[in-house]
Amino acid sequence: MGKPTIARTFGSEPEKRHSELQDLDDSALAAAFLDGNKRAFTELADRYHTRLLNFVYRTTGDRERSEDLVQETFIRVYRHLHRFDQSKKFSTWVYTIASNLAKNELRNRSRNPLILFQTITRGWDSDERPLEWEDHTYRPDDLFRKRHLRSMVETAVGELPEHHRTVFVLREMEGKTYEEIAEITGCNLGTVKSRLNRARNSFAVLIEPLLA
Amino acid sequence: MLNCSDFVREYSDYRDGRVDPVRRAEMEAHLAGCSSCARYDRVVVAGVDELRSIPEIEPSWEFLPRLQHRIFHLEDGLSPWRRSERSAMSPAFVLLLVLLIGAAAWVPTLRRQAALVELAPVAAVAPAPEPDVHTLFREGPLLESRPVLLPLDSPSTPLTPTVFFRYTRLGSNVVYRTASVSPR
Repeated sequence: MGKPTIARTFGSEPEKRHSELQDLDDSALAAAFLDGNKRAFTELADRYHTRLLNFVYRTTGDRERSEDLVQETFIRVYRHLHRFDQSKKFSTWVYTIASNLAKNELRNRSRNPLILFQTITRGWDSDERPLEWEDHTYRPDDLFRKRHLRSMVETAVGELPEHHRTVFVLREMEGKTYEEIAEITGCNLGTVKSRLNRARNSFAVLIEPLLA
Repeated sequence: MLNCSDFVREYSDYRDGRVDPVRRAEMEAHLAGCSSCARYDRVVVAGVDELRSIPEIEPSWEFLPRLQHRIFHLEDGLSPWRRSERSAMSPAFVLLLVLLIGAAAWVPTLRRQAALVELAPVAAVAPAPEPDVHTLFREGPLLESRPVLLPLDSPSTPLTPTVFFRYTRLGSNVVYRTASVSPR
C-alpha cells in the first residue's frame, strides 16, 4: 500500500486526471487551480507538505506545531494563490509563507520562554522518529555513537540563532540557492552570505568536539 | 597570500562554488597546507552529511484529512465578496458598490438647504412717524437695521400693536424695507 497522498484523499475524480496533473510543473498547477481545477491544489499540497513539514520542524523544533504551521501555509496558499506572481517560482513563494509563519512562531515563543528548543527535541528519537532499520554491520558502540552524533548535530542546529538557522537549513537541507534564500527570508544577498557563513562557523564550533 | 581568516571568511562562497577559479585554486592550496582550516572544512562537511542522513519526519496520518476538512469549510465560508473576487464580474461589482456608497453619502448634502436664522426682535421707542407710507417699503440696499416701536390706534385692533421694522439709511434718505406687527 502506497503512502496516502492528498490527491487520493481529496475528491473522487478519475485517477487519469491525477496522473495528468502530476506531469505539470508547479506554475502550470497553480494556473490550473486558478482556472478552477481544485485537484491542482491537492497536487501542489501533495508535492510540498512533507518538505515544508521538515523545513518548519527544523526551524522551530516542535513537531506538532510544525504540522499546524504547514496546514496554515496551505490554507494561505489556497486563499491567496490568485495573488501569486506566476513568473516566479512557486516553491520560493510557498517557502516564504512557511518561513514567515515559523518566524512568527519563534517570536511568539520567545515572548513565552517556558518552551525551549531543547525541551521539545528531548526524547524525540525514541517516540517520534520514523522506524529505521539499523545497519547491523555497526558495532553497538558505533551505533550509540552514531545516534548520539545525530542527536548532537540536531541540537547544534537548534542552538543557532533563528535567522542563522533558517538560512542554514534552507541552504544545507533544502538546497536553495542564495537568491532563493534572499527572497524567502526577505534579506539581500550580502546578508544571506554573511548569515550562512556565520551559521556554518557556529555549527562547526558546536559539533567539532564530537567529530574528534 | 591567503591566510586562515580569509579562508574562514570566504568559506561559504568556496563551499557553494561561488568563487572564481583563481580564488578557488588559492583556497584549495591553503586547505592543503593548513591543518586547522582542513579540519574546519572536514567538520562542516561531516556535520552536514550527518544532518542530511537523519530521516525526514513524515506528516501524521490525519494531516491530509485535516487539511481537506479545513479547505472544505474555507470554501463553505467564503463570502459573496470573496467569491466575486475571483470572478470576472468583480471589477464591475466593486465599482457599483463604490458608486452606491458614494451616492448614499452625498444624499444628505444634496438635500440640505441654506439655514435660516431668525433673530429675536428688539423693542425700541419709535422715532417720529414717517410722513409718506410709500417710503416705508421702498427698496434699497440695507445699510442699517433698527427695530422701532410704533403704536397704532385702530378700531379693529383693540390692542395697540407693536410694529417692528427695519430701515435702511442711504445717504440722507431713510428707506424702510421690512415690518412685522404683533399685538401689544
